Amino acid sequence: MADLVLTKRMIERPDDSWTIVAYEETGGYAALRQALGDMSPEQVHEEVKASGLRGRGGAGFPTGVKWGFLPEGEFPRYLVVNGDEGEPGTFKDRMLMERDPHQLVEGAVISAYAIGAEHVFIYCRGELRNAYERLCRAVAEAQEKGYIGSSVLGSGFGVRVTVHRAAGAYICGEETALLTSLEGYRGWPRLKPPFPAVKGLYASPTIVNNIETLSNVPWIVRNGGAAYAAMGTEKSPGTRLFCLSGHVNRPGNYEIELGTPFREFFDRWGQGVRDGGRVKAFIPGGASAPWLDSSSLDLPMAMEALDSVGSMLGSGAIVVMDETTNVVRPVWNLVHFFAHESCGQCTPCREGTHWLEDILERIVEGRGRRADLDLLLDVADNISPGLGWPPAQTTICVLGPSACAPIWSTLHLFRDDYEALLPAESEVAAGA
Amino acid sequence: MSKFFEGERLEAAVAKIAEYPQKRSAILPLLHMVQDDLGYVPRDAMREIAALIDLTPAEVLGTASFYTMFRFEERGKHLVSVCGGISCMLLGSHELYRKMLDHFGVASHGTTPDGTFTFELMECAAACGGAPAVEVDYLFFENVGPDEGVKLLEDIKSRGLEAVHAERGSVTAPLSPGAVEAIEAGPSPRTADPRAQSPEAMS
Ligand SMILES: Cc1cc2nc3c(=O)[nH]c(=O)nc-3n(C[C@H](O)[C@H](O)[C@H](O)COP(=O)(O)O)c2cc1C
Ligand code: SF4
Ligand code: FES
Repeated sequence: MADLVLTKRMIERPDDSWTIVAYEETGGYAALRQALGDMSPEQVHEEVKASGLRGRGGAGFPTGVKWGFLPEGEFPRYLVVNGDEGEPGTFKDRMLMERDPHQLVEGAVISAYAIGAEHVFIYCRGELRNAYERLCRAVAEAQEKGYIGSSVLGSGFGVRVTVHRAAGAYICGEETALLTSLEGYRGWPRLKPPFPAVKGLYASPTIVNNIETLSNVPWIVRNGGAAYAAMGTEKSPGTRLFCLSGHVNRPGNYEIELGTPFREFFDRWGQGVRDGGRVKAFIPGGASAPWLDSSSLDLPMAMEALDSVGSMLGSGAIVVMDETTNVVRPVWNLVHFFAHESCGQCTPCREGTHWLEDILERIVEGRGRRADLDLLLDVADNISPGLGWPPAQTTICVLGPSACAPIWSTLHLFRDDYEALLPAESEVAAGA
Repeated sequence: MSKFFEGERLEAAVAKIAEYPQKRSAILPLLHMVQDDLGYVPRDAMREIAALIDLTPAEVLGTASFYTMFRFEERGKHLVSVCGGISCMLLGSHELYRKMLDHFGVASHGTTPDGTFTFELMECAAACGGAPAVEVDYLFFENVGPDEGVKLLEDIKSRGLEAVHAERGSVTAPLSPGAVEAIEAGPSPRTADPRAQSPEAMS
């Protein structure tokens, strides 16, 4: 039976899982003791590598490998935890911050030990008041108990943890924008390379990891990397929190093993589509992911399987739409989101996303023209040449191409929905 | 006008600044301190922040204006943020928003004449499993049906936010019903080579 890595405590102790008492009573901070007492930083790093853990923030990059990119002997180093959760459809990190903040703090402190970071910053999305308050309390409690401080549990390893409250800008979830924002500037992404591991916060080596990614670390230390790798699939080991929303009977966050087919996930955990309907379209991995239709329902929820169909498991957010849906309005909704959140640095993204939004708006409002469908692809191609996934880009970050993915994927799968909204040619002629 | 950062507030600000290796990093936390108290960030407070962290007032405004949470003008007593994101939209949040505005007779992003509520349509609130989602002063209310919003706000107006939130709001992201079954059901069959299950491989 697969163990629950992330959500066991919150399920077993729904009324107090976030408190230090509940955390310690259920084995909390044992992994930290073990890591500091019995393991060298390299050994912790090795276990994380052996677990095969892949980042849960969107790109799915192997965590142990990323940690290995830190230039040897360069200090200070920082660990930055990305809690800016804002990708439409995603609501798992909020739950982890609110319901098990100590699990995250423990994971972050162990990770800081492994990579030799002296200061951890938890960048918490500004609109999540309760998550922020719970994180602050957890950090204060951990400090009192000696899990954070100048010599953690008397080991000689010292670390500080600062919870940083952001202020409403989705782009700050992008790791380089997050660092710029944390330095006190407008949240503009930076060109990579240099990658944060080499030149990150205050131009020092920095690891940026997602909330869910680091929440796995205590379990991995307690049970060993091999036990983690034994769950899920070979290339997508472990369990993962999937955020299910949209037209399903039972939306919510579900921690399941990677490799479960979408169909089973929707039917069993989502309890099927509302009103006994059927799936028309679904977004498999957050707002940036190319959409899929019902022919992909038997695909396993594993990163490599999504790669093979030109989409991604991304942030783990799955939005389901039933057969009553015309996809153009929800596509417009997403494109509006990206246009609104564009930081404005790159012309193709700043101008292009607004163009795309305007064109979609007139189609939705029945003022579209047949040529608009090609125009959408043409504008999108200027932002993301070739219109594929993973995307080519003419921009600094991947937000611009993300705005294009819902458009080209649905124009391919659901062109009829667009055509249905176009006024008849005669009406256009008459109106012209 | 008296200074904002004086006495205890000044101490808190100085402590906040000391948490960061570079002073400038404290800019968002300091702006939040002001806004949490006053509901918005007045120009004079930005001047004070600039002095505290060795920036010019223009640099503070330049940074602050990038972030949608900061307001530079007074707002109503409560900020009502209705999620306009995709999952909430699919379940009627735009209709919910419209009904609230119509009931209180205000335009989108406006404030009620009595100054009780300021409205906004926000981007995905990270509560999509509880769509449609509404935040009032950044406290969550989930599964607010299109016809339920007006009653919710009238209730807040007459009984206070705290009382209503304690009863109806979500303090913590709700646990998914069935989350427990997901453990009990155990693992799905291990896929040695996931490609073996991809459609191309099956056909
Ligand atoms: C536009 C954009 C927004 C992003 N938003 C988030 C976010 O809210 N949370 C997050 O963890 N990662 C987000 N990412 C991914 C981060 O850049 C980064 O890859 C991630 O935090 C690394 O952590 P991981 O390796 O643990 O996944 C975003 C990326 C882009 C391009
Ligand atoms: S792609 Fe868009 S969001 Fe990203 S850096 Fe360029 S303008 Fe900013
Ligand atoms: S779409 Fe409304 S909370 Fe995410």
